[in-house]
Amino acid sequence: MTRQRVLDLVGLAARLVLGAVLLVAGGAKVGNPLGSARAVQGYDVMPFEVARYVGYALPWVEIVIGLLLVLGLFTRISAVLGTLLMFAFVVGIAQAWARGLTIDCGCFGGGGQVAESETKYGREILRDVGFALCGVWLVVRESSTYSLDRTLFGDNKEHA
Amino acid sequence: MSSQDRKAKAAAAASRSNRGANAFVVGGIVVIIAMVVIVSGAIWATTQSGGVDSASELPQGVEEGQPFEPYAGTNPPEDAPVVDVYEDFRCPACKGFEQATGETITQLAEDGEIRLRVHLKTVIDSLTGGESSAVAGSSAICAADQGKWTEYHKALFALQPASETKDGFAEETYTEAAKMAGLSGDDLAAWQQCTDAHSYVDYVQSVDDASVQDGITGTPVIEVEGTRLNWGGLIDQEKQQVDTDRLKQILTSGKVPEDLVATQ
Repeated sequence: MTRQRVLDLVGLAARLVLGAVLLVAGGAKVGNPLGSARAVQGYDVMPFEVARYVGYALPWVEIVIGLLLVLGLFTRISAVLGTLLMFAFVVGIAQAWARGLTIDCGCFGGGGQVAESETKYGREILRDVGFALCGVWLVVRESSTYSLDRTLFGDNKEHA
Repeated sequence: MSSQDRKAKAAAAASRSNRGANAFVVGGIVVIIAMVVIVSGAIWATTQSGGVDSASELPQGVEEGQPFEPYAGTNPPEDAPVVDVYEDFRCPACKGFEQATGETITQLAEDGEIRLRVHLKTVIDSLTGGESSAVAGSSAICAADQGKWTEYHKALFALQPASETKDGFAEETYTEAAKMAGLSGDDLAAWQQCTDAHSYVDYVQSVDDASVQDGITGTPVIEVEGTRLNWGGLIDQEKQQVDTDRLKQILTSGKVPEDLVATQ
């Protein structure tokens, strides 16, 4: 296997990990808009009503970006958006931690207030940073195996 | 640039355009689809919580987001202690709270010794999806319209589903509770119509919004003159009974003793 091919496979893995996580996270929240709104409101960073609509839209945003990553369509742009999303989550969790709020991240459904002993901020942040790194890889090196980018736009985009 | 280079470039460009789809066209389509999915998803979510089909009424003399006072008719004196109860018909701990303290609180409110304000919440809806907590709350205010708040409140808690699922209460459970509460004839018909119309669903959801903004995200919560009471501290663990006398004393005095102030 050439070095090129190995790196392309790493790209595929990064796409599938970040894409699948976004799809699962979005899918888990999509049937429960009130819960999703309450989770975003729990972070207490936006006006109450704004947080409601962010909560309504977020699962769909995650699903769209997740799908694009899994399919490998417009990989770099999708990866930029996915990475920004993960960083936003990290910042959100970190500020909740720093301010002494006791909430569940609501990452895969759930969310809202929990008992102080039930918070898992450190683990949640580490996990999201890990997902963000998958995104960073794809931003730096977009090319990957089995991508729609390659099928649709040919090999010329590969080594960008 | 030599003509050969130019030819090579042109050939390369030609082969590119022959081989690949137009990124701008595909990109445009993807962006449009993404926007449509996200926007229609958010709009759908709005209709999911806040039922477009609901009649959207307010209980008599109550504003949006404000608590419901089931015993306002008893006209408690000005200086009667204000007791706020936050509850959700689908919450198991609320059922326990109702069974342990319901009679005492009801009695005090009926006698005008306290001013009871009920905040119907939708905590379990936000955990499981659906709007069964809100529909249940709406049906209880429909019962209050027919003068059967106390009885219906008790009956519906007794009929609480064993597990918390999106479906929540079955429609026939409400009717069963209404009959247990003693509704019949025209009163039952009026209650049924009010319940089926989801008349107060929007109102109950507005109460939940308001209380979340006040930092009350769980249930049950009881506040005496604004101080949160650790009601679990009144339960005798051996007998599994609540210290009714002490509860009465706390509620009618309007003062929560320091050892029973809830921190969370």
